[in-house]
Amino acid sequence: MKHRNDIIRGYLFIAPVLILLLAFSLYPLLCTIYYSFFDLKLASINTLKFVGWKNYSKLFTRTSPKFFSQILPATFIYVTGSIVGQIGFGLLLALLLHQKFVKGREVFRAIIILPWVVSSIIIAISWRFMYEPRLGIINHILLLLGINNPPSWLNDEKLVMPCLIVANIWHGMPFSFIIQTSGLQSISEDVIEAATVDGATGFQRLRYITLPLVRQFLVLNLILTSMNTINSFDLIYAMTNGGPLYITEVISVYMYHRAFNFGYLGEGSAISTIIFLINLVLTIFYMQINKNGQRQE
Amino acid sequence: MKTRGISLILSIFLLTEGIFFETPRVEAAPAPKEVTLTIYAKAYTFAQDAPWVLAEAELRRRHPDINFKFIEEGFGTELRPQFLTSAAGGSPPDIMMTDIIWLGEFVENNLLLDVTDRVAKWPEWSDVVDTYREATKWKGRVYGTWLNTDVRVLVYNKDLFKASGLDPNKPPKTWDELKVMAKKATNPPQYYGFGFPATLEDEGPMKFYTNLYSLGGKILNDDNTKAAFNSPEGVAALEALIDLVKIGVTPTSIVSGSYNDIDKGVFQGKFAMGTMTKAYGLAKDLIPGLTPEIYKEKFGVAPVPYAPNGVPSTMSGGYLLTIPKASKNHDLAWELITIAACADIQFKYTSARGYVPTFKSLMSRGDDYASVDPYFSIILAQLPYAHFRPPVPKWTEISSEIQKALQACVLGKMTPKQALDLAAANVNEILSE
Repeated sequence: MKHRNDIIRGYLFIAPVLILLLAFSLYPLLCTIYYSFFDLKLASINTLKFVGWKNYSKLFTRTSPKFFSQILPATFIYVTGSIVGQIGFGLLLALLLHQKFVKGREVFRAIIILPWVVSSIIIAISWRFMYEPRLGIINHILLLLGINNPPSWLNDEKLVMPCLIVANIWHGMPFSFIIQTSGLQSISEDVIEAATVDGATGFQRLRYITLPLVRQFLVLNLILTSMNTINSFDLIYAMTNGGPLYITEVISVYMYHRAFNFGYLGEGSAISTIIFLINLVLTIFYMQINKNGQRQE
Repeated sequence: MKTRGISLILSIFLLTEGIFFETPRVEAAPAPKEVTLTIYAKAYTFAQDAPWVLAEAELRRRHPDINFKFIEEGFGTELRPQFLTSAAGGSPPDIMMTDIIWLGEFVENNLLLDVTDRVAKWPEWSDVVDTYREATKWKGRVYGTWLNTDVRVLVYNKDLFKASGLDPNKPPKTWDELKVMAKKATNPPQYYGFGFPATLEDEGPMKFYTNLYSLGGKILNDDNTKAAFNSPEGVAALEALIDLVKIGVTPTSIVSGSYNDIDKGVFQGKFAMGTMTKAYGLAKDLIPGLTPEIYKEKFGVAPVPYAPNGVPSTMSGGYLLTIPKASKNHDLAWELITIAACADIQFKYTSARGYVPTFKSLMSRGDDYASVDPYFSIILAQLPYAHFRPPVPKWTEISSEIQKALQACVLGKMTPKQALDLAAANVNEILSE
């Protein structure tokens, strides 16, 4: 009887969050999937016409832009570049500031976190100004260094995506830094000391002790950063609006264009459903990798 | 003594009661009616008294019995999606500042109130220039009245002209002259001869359309069912623009940022020439303390250069004040519109921002406008050559394809013919859906 009461009490405790999750996450998600099968337009939202898979087939067969040869590759490059950069630099800085010889670590940590608290739109506009070919600070410095023909960053089809990735790394890296710092702080100093006494080099300590022990944090970081990068559109929208041509039109920007610029909410819902599926597959994939790693140990 | 006092008080009481009973009861004044009017407009329309502050004050004066609350929502490029979203949510504004190119889309989706009967009773309606009166119609019905229109003109930087050895009083008249002069006025990366936007915005291809109409071409066919911009005239129009990029007088950086950045470039000394609207308003926003005299000394305005063997042409646009169908205050919204868009307030608004009026009576006030914009007569003289983009329901999508064709050419990914043919195929697909 007491056990049953404990269970009921437990459910009561989680009920508020559960209700909020159902109302603000699950319900909109189910609605999005539902609407993806309807011809639903922003300008005539009260007219619903069932069209089956038509929104999906339109998405995959449209020639401008092409989903498989333009939207998905752009998304893959942007997401991969951002994840590698954010987690890589985040971990690197977390490791550096975890060293005892670094003085004023708390101050450095506070400074590193700053870009994360700035709005994406502000960051996008700031970087756009910095990349500006004639007035931007980057080209100004290059001119001072004697480079007479500096690049036109956001207009160059080869440079525009790396430019966006750099801006996104700068914005998102502090989040990885916080998670990795938490991971590093969770490692008992005794373990590191024991390894040092046993003669392990710095690299060996990192490879065989630190990284395996922060793996859970890395996987969490990977899942959250991937989701955040796939879903976010504000930075790209404000910096390039998906251009020039379709080079930076990642799936989230494409979704916004179809749903809100052109008003095709049904198609926008279909794209959102695909974004959800990509997130789901990636999360399962990361968790599987983590599980396999744990088994190998 | 005590009895006398009580009698006096009683008498006073009875007397006053008598007065009150005999006097008819005065009805308490009805509490003022509360009305909230929401306005969705471009943010810059709220930056000066005309039109909204003046119109709201006048509406308050006319209806002292109504307690008005005005909600002013100022937007940038997001005005259209914001309106569509609010309309979709069942709570549209009472007044919507509608770009003339959105008219077909809004009306076809049953979002705007037909005001044909209302304009017929509005004394100032007959004063609106015929072409512009016609442009407020969709399928023969009127859906709003003009807040302002605009036309594109050539604006040039006289200092850069002088520095390049060009006569600041002789702007180019034809494409050939433009090319030659732009080449002379180019000194990269400090400044370039000619700037035109090739951005992913509706304003992007405006210069292409101007060239297209100068050669006698069209954007869509007569019944708006097929693309017509990939005609030989269209290809020649785009080639003329892309030539400017090829010879280096226009940088490829015109594909990024916003069209405003490129327009501003003329006033910031980045471009010697550019075509734009609301030039004086833009210059005033950029240069503190700018007076008409300084403006005239530093910058020049001329008609847009036209094609060899072509005709003068320019592009026009502008905004209508419309009433969403779902608004609960149709009558008061219309009254506010007729005040905000009347000739007197339109004069104040257009002269403050460098726009063009749509009333015949204001066309004759060139001198008044000249006192605030010294080049107003040149701007006004372009009206007969002005063309509109077709306000078809899918214009935003159609425009997007043309914007991308322009970018592809500027970046050297395609020839004008290839890009326009591809865009035309996509536009035909959009129109056939």
